[in-house]
Amino acid sequence: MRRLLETCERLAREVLDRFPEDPPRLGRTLLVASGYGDDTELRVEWSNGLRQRVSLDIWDARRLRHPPEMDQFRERLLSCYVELMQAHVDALRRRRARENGETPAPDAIVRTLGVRFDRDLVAILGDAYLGSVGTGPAAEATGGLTIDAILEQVRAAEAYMRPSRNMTASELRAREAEYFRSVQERLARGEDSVEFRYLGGYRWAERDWRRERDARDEAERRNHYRARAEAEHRGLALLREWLTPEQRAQYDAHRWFEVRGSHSGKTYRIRHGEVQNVFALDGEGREAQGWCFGPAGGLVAGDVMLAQKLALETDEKDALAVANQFFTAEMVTMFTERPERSDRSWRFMGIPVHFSARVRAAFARPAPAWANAVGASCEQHFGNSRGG
Amino acid sequence: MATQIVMDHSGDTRHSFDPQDAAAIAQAEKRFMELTGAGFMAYKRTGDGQGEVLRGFDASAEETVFRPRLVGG
Repeated sequence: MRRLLETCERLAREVLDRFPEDPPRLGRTLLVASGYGDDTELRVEWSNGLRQRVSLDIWDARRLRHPPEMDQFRERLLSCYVELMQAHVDALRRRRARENGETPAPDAIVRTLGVRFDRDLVAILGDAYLGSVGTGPAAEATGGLTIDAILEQVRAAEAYMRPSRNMTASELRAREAEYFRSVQERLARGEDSVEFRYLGGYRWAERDWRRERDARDEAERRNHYRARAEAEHRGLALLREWLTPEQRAQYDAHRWFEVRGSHSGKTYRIRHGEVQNVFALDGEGREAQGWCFGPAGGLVAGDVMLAQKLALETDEKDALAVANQFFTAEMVTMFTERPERSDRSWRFMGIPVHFSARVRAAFARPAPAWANAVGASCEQHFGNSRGG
Repeated sequence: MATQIVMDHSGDTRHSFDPQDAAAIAQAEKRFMELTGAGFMAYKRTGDGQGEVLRGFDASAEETVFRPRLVGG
């Protein structure tokens, strides 16, 4: 703490010594996200005094109610204060450099300060919230200032920003335009935070800026969806070019088509979709096993289905080597419902399955309620997961 | 005109070239080598709905489609 205060003193002296012609009133307002769904403003001002220059917006002061955190908070606040003063010194240096026709160094401090203080503020304050203006802790937090003094500062600042009378419509428009220009300039410079609080009744600029931003976002969304739709159309056109007439007829009728594996000779059904859409059929044409694979890169459905078809028809082994298996709805049903066959013999992927006497006895009993419930939910899940 | 079709985010990108033009063939072969070197698999269209894997550049292929490498889902 002592070191911080000494640094403050040193920087203050440096500013006054090196730039005596600059106005003594310096300060900066940071708008930081508080985590409460609203922006919190931290105003750090610097004038002729030193230790009383750090002030908090009254909204922050109301949230400070944990005395053990006060020292920590004050220290961090002073740390921010030192950085801001350093930023002032740098700003003055840059101004002097510009006046001398030199190229000033870029401002690197203030851009990161808002982010850092945001993290510190949230970490310290947590979810503490004092509904009314406190007394002791808030006063402690501001280095000896009382709540009355803070309120006085806020009132003074508001009086400074607000005119004593209502502005005329033309004055209001001029003020809006001026503020809007300043906001645009700050955004163009890439500053992280833009202060709107003291716009007071002149929030039109903020509203227009938000409207413009929303319109720009909406245009970007529309362009994205339009491009995606065109890509989908091109992908499906390419797929149809490469399907056989039978496959094309199947796809037109069912939104799936069947291919024959190049190595096993098995029949696979490729449903419209991008994931979990390839099924190996058993001898009865049921979707007995699911295979999930596709081309890398998040391509559109038409390209994915064509890549799956070509891979299975020309190099089935390699395709299945990278594929992941998943249960089909038919498989889940098979193991959760009582079989209807009289001989209790089953074939799985074409292979006869012989159940032991114990399993046959289990099948002879009615399936428990939970099993049917599991079967229904799985069927619903896998049914929904299919494309189209 | 022969065509090389590359699957991508826009659906596909098509590159047409004259199989009688030596310079165009060289450029198509270079593209083939770059794509297959990057993991793409090339297929030549052999019939109606049929494809054949191309292990090397085939200047006589009228239509070649390139798909990215396969990954498990």
